Amino acid sequence: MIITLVVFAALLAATMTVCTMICSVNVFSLNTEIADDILDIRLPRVAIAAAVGAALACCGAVFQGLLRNPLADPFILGVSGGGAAGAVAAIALGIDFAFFGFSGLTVSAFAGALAALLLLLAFARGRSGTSTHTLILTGVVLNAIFSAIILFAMSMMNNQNVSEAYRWMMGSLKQAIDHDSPQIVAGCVVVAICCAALLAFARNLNLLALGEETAAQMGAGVERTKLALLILCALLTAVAVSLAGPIGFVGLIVPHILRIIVGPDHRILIPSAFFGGAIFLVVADTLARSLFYTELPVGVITALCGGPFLLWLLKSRARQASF
Amino acid sequence: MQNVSEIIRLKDISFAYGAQPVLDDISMSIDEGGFVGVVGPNGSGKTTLIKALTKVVRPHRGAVEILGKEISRLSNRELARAVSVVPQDTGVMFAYTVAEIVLMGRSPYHGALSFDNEEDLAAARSAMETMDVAHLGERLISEISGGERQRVIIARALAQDTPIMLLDEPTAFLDLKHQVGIYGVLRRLNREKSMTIVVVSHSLSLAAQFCKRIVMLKDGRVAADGPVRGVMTKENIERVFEVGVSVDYDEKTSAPLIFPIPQE
Repeated sequence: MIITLVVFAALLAATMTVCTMICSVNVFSLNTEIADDILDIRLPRVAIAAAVGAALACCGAVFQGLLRNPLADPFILGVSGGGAAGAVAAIALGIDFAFFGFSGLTVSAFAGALAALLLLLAFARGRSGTSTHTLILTGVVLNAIFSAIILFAMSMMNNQNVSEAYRWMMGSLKQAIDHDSPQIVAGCVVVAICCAALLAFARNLNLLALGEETAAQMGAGVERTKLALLILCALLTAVAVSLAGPIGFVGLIVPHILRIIVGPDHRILIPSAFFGGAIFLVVADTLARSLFYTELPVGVITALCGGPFLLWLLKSRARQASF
Repeated sequence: MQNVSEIIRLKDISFAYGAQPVLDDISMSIDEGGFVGVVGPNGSGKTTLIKALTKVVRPHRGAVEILGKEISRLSNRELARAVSVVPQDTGVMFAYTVAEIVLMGRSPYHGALSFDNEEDLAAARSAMETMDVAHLGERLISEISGGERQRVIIARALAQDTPIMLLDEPTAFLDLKHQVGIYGVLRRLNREKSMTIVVVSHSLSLAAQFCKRIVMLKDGRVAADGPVRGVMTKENIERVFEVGVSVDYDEKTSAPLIFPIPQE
């Protein structure tokens, strides 16, 4: 198991190095100007991509375990949407303060993500797990509500704020270079700490696969676990959204593929998702900025991978009696 | 005066879902090494009784003591080291292997970050051997048959290494051979490890064959409680289940055999 994680970490390091180099420049003829460019622009961007990918993938893995449904994902469930609505509301209301490297935008995104999660839990929960239909429909409704809030806030804004807000809708890492470095560092640190904290609940997440009552009867503090995981996930989603906007499907694809590779045990799945999500988004963002002559929002790439993947999952799940 | 060997004690337990009373003033005590069958019609409170013993539902009145301790003062972990449960619903999310499921039974002995040690592996192995599922270790829980899965779930409860095991209809959905097999294992655990067993059952004859004591519930109350032959009488069963029965006695074991009589 430690070997698996070392392999994942090495892969991440390699991916980050290679992707930092890639960008229509010849890596073999580095001059100082390009070296500066790498340090100032591309390295922070790759670091943000890694942090956001790790956060979203870990959230996806945790949501899936918590809701006992393999289709849960912060984007599909409307949690990212809640975070984006919070972020846009902060722009509209001109909330602007810094709090240990966290902007008012991040705090507001956290509030939005947490609100979305609480709504989701209130409406989408059945007695034994969460049915796929209810879950996805609740996510659709939440996303619609948050889009309406975002549109409302944007129609009340002046032009400069609109263009700022618009960037959060895109799910792009392009604006990442606008962030101050303390903000980037704070984001990366929060993601690392939260993901490590998730591990403390990994064993209980395993027990939850047997149902909440059985998990409690096997010694898990179910309510405490749920509360802690919800807060951690809302925080992770908020950091991801405030750094890069709502990027979809990372939390769906990555844990799914990793469950096939490392198995469903959350004690190994969560750290694997941390590295796997980081690798996935770093690669996706590198493709987004180097595939075409103009840069694509990375959300386009992940949605183009993730959308068909979700459809395929729905189709294959439909054939199983348990869904 | 507290009996030393008393392992479970219910004192005037009442519980209601909304206005609907489910458990109505139930008191009983179960001694260490007991093998108690709980029977009764649907909705008589059998499953709720099991849940009340494990803090899944909290009685509105009364108290539950396990090993002499009030359970509301025990943490889930402490309780899970005393009582293991085989639930009615054995659905498992995600593709866990049989061995992984059985090892989950060791959770009450672990902190958040510790991994399974030699002792856990040994406990899981021995539980799987007892339940005759050791050969299924690497198979996925979703791929095995219903009878195998029920044995795996019991193995998981065994790996929990508790003095008390509660089972909620462990033989529902199983064929006759597997039903008898499961009860045979329960009897062995009861005799060899003097494990205290409380089993909710819809099969009166099976409960009568294997259990030492029967508790009959009706409308959330104890309708009859005592040794098998004293409780499993034609009068009691007809009163509680509201169906005509004939009661015969097994030639060899002299355990009651219950047959429903179709009404014209």
